[in-house]
Amino acid sequence: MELLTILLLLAAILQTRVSNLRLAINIVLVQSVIVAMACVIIGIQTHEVHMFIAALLTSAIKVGIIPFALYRLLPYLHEEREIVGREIVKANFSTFMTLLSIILSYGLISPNLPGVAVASTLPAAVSLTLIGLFFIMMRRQAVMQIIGLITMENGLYLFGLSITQGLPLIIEMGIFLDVLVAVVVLVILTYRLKLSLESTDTSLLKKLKG
Amino acid sequence: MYELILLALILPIVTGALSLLQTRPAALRTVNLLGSTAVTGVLFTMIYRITQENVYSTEFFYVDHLSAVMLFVVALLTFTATLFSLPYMEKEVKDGSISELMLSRYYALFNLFSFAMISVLIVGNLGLMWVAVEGTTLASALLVAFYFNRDALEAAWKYVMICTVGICLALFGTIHSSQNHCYRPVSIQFLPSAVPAAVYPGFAG
Repeated sequence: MELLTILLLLAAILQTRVSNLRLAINIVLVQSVIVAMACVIIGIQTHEVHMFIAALLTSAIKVGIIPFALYRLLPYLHEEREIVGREIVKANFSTFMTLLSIILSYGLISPNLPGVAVASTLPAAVSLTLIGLFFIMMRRQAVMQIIGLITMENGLYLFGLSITQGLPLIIEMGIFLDVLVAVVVLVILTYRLKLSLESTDTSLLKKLKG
Repeated sequence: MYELILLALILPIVTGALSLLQTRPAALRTVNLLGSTAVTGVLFTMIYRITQENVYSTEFFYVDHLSAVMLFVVALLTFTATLFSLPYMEKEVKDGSISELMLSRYYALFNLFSFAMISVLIVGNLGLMWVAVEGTTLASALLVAFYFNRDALEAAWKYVMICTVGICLALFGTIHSSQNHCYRPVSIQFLPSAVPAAVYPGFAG
């Protein structure tokens, strides 16, 4: 379990240095695989069948359908990548914020809490949510923002896993359905952005401002 | 009451599905006018019943006076928005801004949106309510991006991103509060350990 947590955080830190879209999708795929494996391990520890169903759903949706939709999107987005160069300071800042959020979560969340199923993953889950939030704020490519959102969802899912013995199955299925529909809607929007703006750089979207 | 709740959930879905199947604008208008009138009628009956019996709660549904106030707003909005949409979308089709195929998609999404809004107010579980709130965002996101031109896409992208991130953080809080035997999963060590129980009643346990 500790090894999985370390790998998860390592993947999240690597993610902040990546500018190639395909590589970024690969990394988020690895992240989802790790979350599914954590789910299986908790299932083995607590002997609950419903954790295995949740693991199956995670792998079907977050390892199967969502990366598939993102990979399908990639051929339309040739020569799109996150701009580095001028943005190198931003990438460094992003890594710094990621590390800071990991340190803060591990520093502020006490490991021996009452009523928590798996205390060792709790700080990792909180920091993963924060990392996803920073990722959305720092990146300009539409696909990168989608990946930030998936990272956030992974963090939340891990949070739910570690704080409860798993949410009720019907709620879990609803959450998965919503994540799936959200990503599909965002993929459609990205595709349309590419068609009408010839770019998926969201910094171009600055006409509508308050 | 149970039948009324089921009816309020099923009617928008049926209206939306019928709208998807229809292609003639006249038939679409009739179906949607009838559908939204029926939904509004059901919702008003439900509001009247809840003022009589105060609270209705089962395993999956929960309606009380606060839901009744919100349901009143939703019923009024759904009905007037349908009334407004009918001539407006007719004009858009006549001007050539949208095709007739898009018209049926508009009404289907509209009904999906009202289904999600009604279900937010009557489900009896914070987790399911979260799911329904996210559902309203997604249904309305496709309505915001409806024309798929530059401005619509920009608005829809910002709308989905801001709302989804906000709702993700709401899930964080929902998971916290669902853990009701332990109100303090995240202890902030910098705070003084003796927090007055009167300030945080949940902390007392």
